[in-house]
Amino acid sequence: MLHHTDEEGKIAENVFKSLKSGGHWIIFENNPINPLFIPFFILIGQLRSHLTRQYLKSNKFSLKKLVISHGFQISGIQRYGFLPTLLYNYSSFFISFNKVLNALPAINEFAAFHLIKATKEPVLNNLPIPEQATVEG
Amino acid sequence: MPKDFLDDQKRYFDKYFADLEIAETKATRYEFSTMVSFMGEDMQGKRILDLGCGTGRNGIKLAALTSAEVIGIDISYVAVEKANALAKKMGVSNFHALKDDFKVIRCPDLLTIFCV
Repeated sequence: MLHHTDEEGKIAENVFKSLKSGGHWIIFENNPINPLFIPFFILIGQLRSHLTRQYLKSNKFSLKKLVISHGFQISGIQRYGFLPTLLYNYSSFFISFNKVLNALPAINEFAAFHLIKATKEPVLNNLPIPEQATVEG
Repeated sequence: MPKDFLDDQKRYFDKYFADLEIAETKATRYEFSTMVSFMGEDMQGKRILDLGCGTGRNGIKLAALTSAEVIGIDISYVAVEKANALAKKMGVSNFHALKDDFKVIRCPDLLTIFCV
């Protein structure tokens, strides 16, 4: 969804404010370096809505930078799919085949989607405040 | 990038969702189960936000399977209308979709926000 907005920074700010302490922001984004996306979007007639600068910005480096710069900790990253998941509707073979491809690190970099779990770390309010060192004269 | 990028997307998705027939497929089921297992949280009774909910394919299912209060937000009025109608048809009372801009709306005390 983040590739459909040009104000992802403001969204990240509001996500941070809206989550309770220890809450999670789950980001499920297209991976712009997946080589099959552009042919796929042409095929399903969604090229215009997806091939924008925002789409290219949904790469893992920009997403990591976005969440970290807004105060989140990254608590999980997963890649999902390689061949278009629409193929799952035709045969379960493609589910198994994508799992095999996702297990290969060199191919997994080009997976269809990134899943990022960004956590708003609990604020530790109850920790005792350390006593300040005093210098005796 | 055009200045009215968001308006352009909104117009596109109003048209896209107006023509869309809502149907659960093997691909959407698999996407949903991947997302839920990645969340890895007990969501019973919690507040969850489905940001960019579209016609509610993930949010409604999550609400139906848990006792979580699921709020959907989308910029497309057409999508939100369809999502609320689908939730009502399915008898899912713990899902509500709103047409709004998440940059300004306040939804406090959320356990999880997911953007698919």
